[in-house]
Amino acid sequence: MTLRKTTYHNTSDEELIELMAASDNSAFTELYQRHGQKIFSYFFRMLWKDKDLAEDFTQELFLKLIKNAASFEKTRIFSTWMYSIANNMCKNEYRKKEIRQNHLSMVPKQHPSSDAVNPDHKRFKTALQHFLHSLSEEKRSLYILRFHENLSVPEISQIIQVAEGTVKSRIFHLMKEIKNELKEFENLLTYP
Amino acid sequence: MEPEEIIQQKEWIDLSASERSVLQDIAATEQEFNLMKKIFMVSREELDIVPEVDPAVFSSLEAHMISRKKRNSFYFLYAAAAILVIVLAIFLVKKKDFETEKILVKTNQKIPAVQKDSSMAVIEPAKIIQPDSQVIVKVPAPTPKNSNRPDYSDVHNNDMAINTTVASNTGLLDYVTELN
Repeated sequence: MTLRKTTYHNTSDEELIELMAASDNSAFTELYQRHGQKIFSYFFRMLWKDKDLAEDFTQELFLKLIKNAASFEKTRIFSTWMYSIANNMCKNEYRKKEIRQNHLSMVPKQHPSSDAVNPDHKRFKTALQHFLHSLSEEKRSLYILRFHENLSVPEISQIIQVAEGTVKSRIFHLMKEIKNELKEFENLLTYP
Repeated sequence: MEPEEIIQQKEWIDLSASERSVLQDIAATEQEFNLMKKIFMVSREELDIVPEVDPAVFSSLEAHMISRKKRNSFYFLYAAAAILVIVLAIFLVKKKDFETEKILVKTNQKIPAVQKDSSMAVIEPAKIIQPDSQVIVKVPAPTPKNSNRPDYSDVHNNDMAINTTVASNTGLLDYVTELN
């Protein structure tokens, strides 16, 4: 006799969360495989590249998803819901540590980079990283959601609960700010 | 298309006039455009240096999920057992009521009159003591002056004194002072 394990490769996230609410372990596994690493990456970037903290947050987020699976509104998009919870968790963490006052002094953990041989490129990356870490929690969240997670403006609007027009405007101003901050690299000829 | 999407997806030479006007404030020149493009590229590179999440996270969550499932199934069992007990209790009570219920049968038996209310005051007629009725006489203890008279001091224990009547013993009239 062979045991057949249910597979949900073709099932949508929204259906999976419903199955998860009914204590379907396979649905949970599928959902974790789809979003576990992604949400960990988000936390990792949002929480000063602290791996342990990002893992704790990933675990906490999924516990929240398990606990609140039954209350998931079918009209919502799962990923948006998940990111909005994650975003709120980060907000609380920022508040808790009063990072706004100290964020400039926070040094992110360094990870080896493959292209560290190019000094200009390295300098540029360091400057960009420093700038991103100097951003307020709100701007950093916006940057990560838009340029790392590649979420659309309507999705970000739902996650941070701000009007789409406001999101567009904020992204536009953020891009201007980045460009002005890194203007010195404009004439850098060595592009990766 | 959003400005950031134009920068990421297109090259400077491919931009249309309308797209260039959209990018006017962010990337007015080719150099600025390339700088922005580079920023986005480097940002994406960061994605590659994110470490893998520890498998222990998943194991812990899976264990939590399994325990939750077990707990839920226990709750269902408890709920089912509770419902069963309630249904059984209701059934037993109903059955008992049915057994003890009196069946009304029409008979010719007269219904007894309504009894007196115990709270009502009862007026009983005054008792008339006939001269020949049995009289219990309480006699004061004999004094040394009346030592000639018979001793009836122990009337409670004296059978003769209790059961005697005035008619049979006229001498008792000496002790009667008043008649109702």
